[in-house]
Amino acid sequence: MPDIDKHEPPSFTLPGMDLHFQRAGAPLQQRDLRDLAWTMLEPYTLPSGIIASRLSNEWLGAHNWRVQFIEASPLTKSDDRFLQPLVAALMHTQNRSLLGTAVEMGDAKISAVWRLPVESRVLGLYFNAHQINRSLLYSKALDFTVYAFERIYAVYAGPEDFVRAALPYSAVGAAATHWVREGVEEEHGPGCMDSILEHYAPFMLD
Amino acid sequence: MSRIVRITESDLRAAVADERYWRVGHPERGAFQTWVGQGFRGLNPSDGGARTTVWVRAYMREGHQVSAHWRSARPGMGMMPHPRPSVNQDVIPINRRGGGRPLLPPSGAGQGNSPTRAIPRAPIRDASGRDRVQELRDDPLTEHHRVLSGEVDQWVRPGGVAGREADLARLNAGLPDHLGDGTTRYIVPGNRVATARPSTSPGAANVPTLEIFRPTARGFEATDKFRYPAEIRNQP
Repeated sequence: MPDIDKHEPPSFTLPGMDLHFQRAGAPLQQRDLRDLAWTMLEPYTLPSGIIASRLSNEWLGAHNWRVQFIEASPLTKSDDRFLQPLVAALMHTQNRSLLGTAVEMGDAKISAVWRLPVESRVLGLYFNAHQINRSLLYSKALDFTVYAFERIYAVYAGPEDFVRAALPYSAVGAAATHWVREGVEEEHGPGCMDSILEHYAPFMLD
Repeated sequence: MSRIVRITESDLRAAVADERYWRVGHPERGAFQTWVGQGFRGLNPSDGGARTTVWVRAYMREGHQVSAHWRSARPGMGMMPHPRPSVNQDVIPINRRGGGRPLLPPSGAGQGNSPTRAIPRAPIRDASGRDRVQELRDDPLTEHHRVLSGEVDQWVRPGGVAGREADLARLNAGLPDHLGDGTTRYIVPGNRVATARPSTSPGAANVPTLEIFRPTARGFEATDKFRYPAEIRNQP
């Protein structure tokens, strides 16, 4: 066993926020669950040159998934208009226990995996705790995911019925995606979303 | 044909939904996106000053061709309604936006509210009774840039990386905690958190950035983003 697997993987949450969560098992189990998360991801290069992660089209296509962008702030600010439909949709899929982890490249690729109950309070804390990095909420069955890019945007992915049910009605569709794009570009400049939106375009909900 | 065409913020939002804006491969996409982006920036000038911004179509003046361009409008400039923007139109005055950005698209139930001036914040004092972040905001060398989505004040400070390091010392930040990808986390007295990283925004790539988070009942909330360009250029 590599020596690194004997130690608890580091937590990349905001300070103290990890006290709200339980680790998803021993270090080796967390490594396996982290590797499971990465089966849905691939690296890509941001316009700034930094290498980040994103959901892979190969995964989305193979599982006939759809995606929807939202601004991240309703999640990081525990907005119940977003958290309650997410919890309801997860309960409908029989998910009772979720996993969450930071999904960074480089040295930070090894990070703690948290086991999370399907509760809006805990999920709000999870998104808040990870607003300084990229993170992935998922289940062991890999039947959905929410990829959050810092406090900027989040991508819901899964079967179309799930994605639609997990979001407020007005946050789904092309107009909602334009809304997100406009907000992100307002802060980060025109065109900053081009490459990531083009990547996900074949899977976006109308 | 008049060169003056009235366009409101809702017209710009409609333009965002136009396929010329979003359809990959559309021949007018680049020009249309540029036009819309400049229009929105016209609503939110970096100096926060209320004004009307206009798009001037190319025209002949005294025998010379004047290229299409954006410029500030004179008070009382005549307008005429035009329901749908086009990359080929003449003059497009834009009403300055008054409110902030809701958390949901306009059909949503809730509305956020982000003013265009710096948001007044309740003080968070350290053991010595000082609010060091507020001192940084009030520093004469600090320029308020705008209010970002999520009610975060963006500021500009001088000095590049050295300027940011000096400010971290001024904030009495704790030891650095490296999170990877160039991001470093600090605990700041008053239970605030600061993160230092290079900017990933196009146009400001790799500009040193310092974000400040304050504690709330539901975790942390970003309040300030300081950017430290090595050289501050005046806006044209």
